[in-house]
Amino acid sequence: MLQQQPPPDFGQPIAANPEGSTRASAPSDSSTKKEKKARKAVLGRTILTAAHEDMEHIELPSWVAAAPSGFGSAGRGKLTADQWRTVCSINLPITLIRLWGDQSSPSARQKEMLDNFMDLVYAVEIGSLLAVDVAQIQAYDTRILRYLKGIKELYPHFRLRPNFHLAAHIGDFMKLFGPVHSYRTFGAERYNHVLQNIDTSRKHGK
Amino acid sequence: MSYKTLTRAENTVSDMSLCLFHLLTHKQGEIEMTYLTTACRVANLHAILSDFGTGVAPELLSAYKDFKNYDGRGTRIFDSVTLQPSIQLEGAGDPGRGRKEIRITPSAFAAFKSRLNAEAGKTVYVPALQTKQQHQIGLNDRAVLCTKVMVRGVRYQPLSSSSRNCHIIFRDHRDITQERPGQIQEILLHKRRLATGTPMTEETFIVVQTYSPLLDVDIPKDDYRKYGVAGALYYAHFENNVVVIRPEDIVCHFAKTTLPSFPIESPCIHVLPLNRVGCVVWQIVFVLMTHFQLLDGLPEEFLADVESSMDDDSH
Repeated sequence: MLQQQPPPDFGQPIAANPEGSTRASAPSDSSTKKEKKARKAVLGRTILTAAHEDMEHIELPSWVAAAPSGFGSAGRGKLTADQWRTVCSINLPITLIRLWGDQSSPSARQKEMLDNFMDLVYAVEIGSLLAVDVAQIQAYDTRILRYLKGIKELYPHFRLRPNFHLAAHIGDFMKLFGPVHSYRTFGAERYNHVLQNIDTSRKHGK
Repeated sequence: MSYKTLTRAENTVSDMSLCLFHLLTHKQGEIEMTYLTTACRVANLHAILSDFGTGVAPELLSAYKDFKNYDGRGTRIFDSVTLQPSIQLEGAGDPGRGRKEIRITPSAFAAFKSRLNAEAGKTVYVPALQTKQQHQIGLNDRAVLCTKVMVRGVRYQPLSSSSRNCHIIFRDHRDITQERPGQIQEILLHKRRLATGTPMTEETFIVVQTYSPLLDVDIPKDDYRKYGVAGALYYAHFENNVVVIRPEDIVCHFAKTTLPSFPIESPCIHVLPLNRVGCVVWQIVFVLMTHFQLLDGLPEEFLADVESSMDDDSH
């Protein structure tokens, strides 16, 4: 079982601790590149280890692409889109709510981080539905905007990507054109996957 | 013959999607051919087969039936066919290679009879060997055991056939607003008469054991319920009586997690309904991925790896 980490100093930026989940970084004028990188981290090895342990107890139907064991480590390699979705909408909510959802033990910041992440999960779930109504689109807009505002407040050092902006417009797309399955490019992505799995000699023209 | 052409809205959105794709990948012209070919082929295939009807070779229809029931998510095929009424109505149990007839267990038969009588109106089903009075029909307690049933393109199986595909959320026929988690014990093909003098009708029924819901005293300890999309805890034991449902009562699979550390004294399971299809909005997935580029220990190249997923990752 995981031991809860001591609550961080909320006045300091949160950084990853290789031994634990989060900690407050010590102020230093000569912050190294490693420290800058660490300042961006949200989950530590302890949390990832807990997620890996929880994974052993999750039974998924055969159509769900389960995350590979040891996901999140550099040696495991990159995940497919389906695996990312499984990790973020199944594995991490189960583990994070178990560790951070209990009102009595986690720090206020951990609770805020969890709420922020669950806004994203909620938005993804709505954005992925095959049938949506106006109320669900509004809920999507509310959640994704709250998530984006939360990101700016919780992780001031984090640089937002263009996709964060694009995600805020998916509600407009759903209002105009309906659920995303009629215009998403996942079919093409599947073909890319099929093509990638074809053995080739990698020698052109022979 | 009625080809389904892309609507103006679909074309517009296709163009917008491609613009976004180019913006993100800086690659022009590679995706259009694959995307449009895929979209047009899938949109037309079902219409062509429907229009030709019986004129299509049976082997082709058989192959297409298997193909459209392929339950891989995130495919154009699944998206194209899963909301069609003809697919949704499908739900016949598949006995597999050997057709094995069994005697329904007394508890399942009692639940089965109770279910039928609740919806039969004046007709009352009684055990077949019992003496019948007016408006009473004999109900056989023998049925064919099935290994799977396809519902809306998703495969559901009993525990004896698959420990992964047996966990379901279903609507309780006694209160259709209530959805409950359970485990499929048996899938049965059963024959009966709908009324006296009518021919035998074969129908699929599913015997389910239901997980016990939390008591009121334990519900506040369940942190998962506060998030709406994070599922809920249930006790790890079943209720005493089994429930008999029809395939259309199935809502979805659920992810079952058994952990010893939930803040409730009795053993619990976590139930996470999977009543979504696995379609992916790339922009949202990218946000998911970049959110967790922050994972401790991940190298700088992780982000580049994530971004390359936009180019070549799939599945």
